[in-house]
Amino acid sequence: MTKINFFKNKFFLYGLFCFVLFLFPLVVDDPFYLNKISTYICFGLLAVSLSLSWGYTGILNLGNAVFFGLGSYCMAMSLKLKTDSIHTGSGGLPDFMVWNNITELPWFWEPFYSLSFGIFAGIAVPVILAIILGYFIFGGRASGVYVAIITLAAMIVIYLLIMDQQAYTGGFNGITDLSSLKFGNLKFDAYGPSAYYLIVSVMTFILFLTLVITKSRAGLIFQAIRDDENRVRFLGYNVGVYKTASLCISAGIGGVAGMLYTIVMEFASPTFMSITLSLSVVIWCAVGGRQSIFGSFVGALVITSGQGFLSESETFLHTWTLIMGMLFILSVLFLPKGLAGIFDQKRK
Amino acid sequence: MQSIKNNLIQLNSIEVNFDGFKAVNEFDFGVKAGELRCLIGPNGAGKTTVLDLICGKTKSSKGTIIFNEQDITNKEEFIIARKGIGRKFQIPSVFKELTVKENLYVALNSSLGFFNNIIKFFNHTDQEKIDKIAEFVGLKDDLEKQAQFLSHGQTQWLEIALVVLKDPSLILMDEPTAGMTNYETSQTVELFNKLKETRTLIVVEHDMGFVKEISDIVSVMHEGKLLAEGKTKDIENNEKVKEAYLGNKGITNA
Repeated sequence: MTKINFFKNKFFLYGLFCFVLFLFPLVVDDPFYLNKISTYICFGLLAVSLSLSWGYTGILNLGNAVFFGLGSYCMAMSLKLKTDSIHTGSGGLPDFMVWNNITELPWFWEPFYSLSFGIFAGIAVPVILAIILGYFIFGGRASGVYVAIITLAAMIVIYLLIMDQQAYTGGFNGITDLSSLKFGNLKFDAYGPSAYYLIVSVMTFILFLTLVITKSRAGLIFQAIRDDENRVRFLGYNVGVYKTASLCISAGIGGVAGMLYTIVMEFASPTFMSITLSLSVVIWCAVGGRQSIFGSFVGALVITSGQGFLSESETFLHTWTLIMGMLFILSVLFLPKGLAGIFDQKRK
Repeated sequence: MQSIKNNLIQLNSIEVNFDGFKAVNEFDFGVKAGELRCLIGPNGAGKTTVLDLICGKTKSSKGTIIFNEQDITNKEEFIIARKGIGRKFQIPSVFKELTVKENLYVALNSSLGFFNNIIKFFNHTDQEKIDKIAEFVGLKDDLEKQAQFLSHGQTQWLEIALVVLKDPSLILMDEPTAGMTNYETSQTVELFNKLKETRTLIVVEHDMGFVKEISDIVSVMHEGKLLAEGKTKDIENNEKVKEAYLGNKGITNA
């Protein structure tokens, strides 16, 4: 066949999808819904992050939300220091520090006066955590369920640490009353189209970035590691380095998703790195198709928007979790490769 | 006895201890460059463990392994692989969810580091190399097939292709004909005789017919030790070897 099948071409498909999302504000001009969709996209990016490590490289990271949470806190710290000083005490201290009798801004908060540092940290902190985790997990040759346990435990440790250090992190309440994101004169109001455009732009960038990564030779080696780690090792590849790299890319994307989420939610909370969210991501990927980046993304969009829709309608007010659970069971039973499996051409 | 110095690979009184059980015990073994050596022996003799030792999958508790005049004892697997030792496993291990082409592309001998590969994409030279090796192992018509849909024999050949693509000077084969039909076995004989021309091979095999077809010198292992070594004909008539195989029926019926 000489005719190019556009729908088989992922670049075209991604482009079309992103283009449609860009046009969305022309149809929907209710800021509430734009804000909702923005949050779903953030969750979608979180699913992309897990799809890369779990679906492609076979690392079942149950602590995936920790990257999201850390990114979110980094952004929140920067935005908190940008708030007008209505709630601040002496020297522009964040309100919760004043309540906790802190008199001086802690040293690790200082650099967050710079927004660029905040954005940098939102990616760097999760990536550094991923390097440390990767070094111990893959250096020690842990695999399968042990990876899931270690990553989950690591996330809980950080979660507890943040809950415990209330004076420095806002504890259970998180960091609230944030300023909007501003670059010079450009202001990204959480309930305006500007924040939505920012999020769709970043989403476009990340979707295409992951597409390129998965099409590269390294992306193929990730999949080879998922299929047979030992075979890859005996072909001369340092599997530990590849797995750590995959986890780092995943962490970076998770961090970005967390930062964007803070921008649209206007707060950061320890629930952003909770077990609940972490396990939800696994479900999104499973329903969407973990071995497909785009499938996982759509899986997250479908489920989170479905949750939003059902939990707000009066009919399903009390039963929406039941319906979501049923959908999950059905997809596991009948669509082992998720929604993406329907469109996947069998290569026989 | 051949001189140890000329050997491409030399194992010196190597020992493996699995919780008190010595799977390989004071084992001395050497293979010259360009040789095809078959390693045989009854079940549990330690043949596979010897291959595991050479490629770094199992760590030794005593002794040294010298490859190409370098000490590779207990080195990490990928380091040993990079020095030029390829390993084919008993249970064929290929990347089942990838196509044959993708499988071969993973093994294609180019850069191994992550940062080189993240900016590397499939190109025409890769295609040519893959076509060539696919032709060699008879998988040319199945390049777009997912590896899990290959027949057993084809899977074995695909794994051999993966190993050969890395261009190793020493190839370790663990029961390459296991589960193959007679036709597939005869094809494999042909393949091995081609491989023999340019590489050194150590082959663990049960099928004596196959061994006779490909190998001149055979080493026999028993209970972790070297029992006998010599021409295929002599080994078949060796009393010690006959005794080692159950029922004294002799090696041919094993």
